[in-house]
Amino acid sequence: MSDADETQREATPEALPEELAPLVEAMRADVLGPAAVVDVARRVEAVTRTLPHAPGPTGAALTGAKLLGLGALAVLGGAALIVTAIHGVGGDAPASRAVMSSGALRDDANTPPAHETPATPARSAPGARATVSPSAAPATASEITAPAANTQAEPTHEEARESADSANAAPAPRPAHARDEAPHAAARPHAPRPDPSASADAEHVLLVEARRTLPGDPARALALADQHAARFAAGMLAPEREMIAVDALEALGRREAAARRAAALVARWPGSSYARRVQARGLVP
Amino acid sequence: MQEGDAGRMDDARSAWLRGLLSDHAAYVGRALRYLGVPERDLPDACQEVFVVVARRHTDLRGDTAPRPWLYAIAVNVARNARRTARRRPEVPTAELPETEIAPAQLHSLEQRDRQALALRLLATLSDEQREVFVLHDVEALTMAEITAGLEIPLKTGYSRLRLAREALSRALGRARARGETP
Repeated sequence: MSDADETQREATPEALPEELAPLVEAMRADVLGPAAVVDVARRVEAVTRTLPHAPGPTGAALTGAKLLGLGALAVLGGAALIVTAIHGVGGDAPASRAVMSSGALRDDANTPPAHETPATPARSAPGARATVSPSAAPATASEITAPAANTQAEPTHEEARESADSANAAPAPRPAHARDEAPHAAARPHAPRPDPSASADAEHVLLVEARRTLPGDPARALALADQHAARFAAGMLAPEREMIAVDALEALGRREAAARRAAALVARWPGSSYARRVQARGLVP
Repeated sequence: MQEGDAGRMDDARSAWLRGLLSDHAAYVGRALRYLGVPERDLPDACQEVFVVVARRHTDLRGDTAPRPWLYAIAVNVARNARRTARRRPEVPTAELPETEIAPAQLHSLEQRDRQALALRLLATLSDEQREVFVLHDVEALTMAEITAGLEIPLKTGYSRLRLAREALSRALGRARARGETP
């Protein structure tokens, strides 16, 4: 088959076999619940807090193998990631697409040294505050240690992975608090910022419920979004709230109102993913 | 770098990462699950994806479409998770019990049954077929995005997708014959 043929197939891909459609539809439902998403966000916050600040080149959109190469890692630190994760918006495909950078899914060319700064997932009880425990100390960012798909036998990186699994094997520098088991705030170079988790939780609860009810009851979703707007006009999740409101208005057939709200969203948060989304949908020029 | 510069950078990074989590964490979790990450490891794997993202923010932030590289990271995390799961034979991955589905989700029982069935059927695929199928048919990446990331020819990607669909259809037929379908 020629490249032209393949291009044509890409433009009109074969349909999913009918018998598989119900399964795929079921698979498109979320499997990570809202509470779990919030927990993941807290874990990410905990881990990123422990990383020393060593910023890399700013604003660089790298391509090719460098894009996902750990050699190009910019090590983060300092800032507290505000926990605001809510459910993803809808189950539809994204409006914008970009060709994946060459080699992005391959890891053999990007294999980091086994001593790369670790990033072992932190296990914390759902709902726990984002305090950093010793177990939250970073471990090897091991996704790159995986072999390239299928064509390789059990990986030569296996030993590196085994090392990553061992708390003592990675000689990478660890945060001072991890070594000393001291509270993370005391080990941070800057004074801790106010923990926004409490208000984020309240915002989150409202918007998760709004998002959950959106498919079946957009009027209620809109009411919840407006309730959020009343309580948290300038809340951290204001963009998410407005996106839900736009979706709800569209679902209610109120396209003009949706367009007005979308325009306000774009004006307030230009360049955001939500702005791009409503623009891609033609709600805003 | 001045402290103020670092603070502004941290703020920008936090906002960027917050947006990614808000928009994509649920998708990434879903992809990880169907790429073969056991339920028990799902939060850890999802965290690992976003920690990697956080650490690469200066490289990735300029990209306007995050889904391709988010899934690229997820694929690699899933590969490691599958290997780790294989080293823990007490929890077989080929026959996942229905309780593997998170109880918190608000799905119908029928949908949950279908998800459990999908997990069992996917476990019969090779890793490479499973990855292409999940990314293409579930996560709706284009084949161009998938094959570019996997560094395989487009034709190979389509071949894997076709084989995956055929294998799944056959496995589904066998499951129906055994009365195992919802």
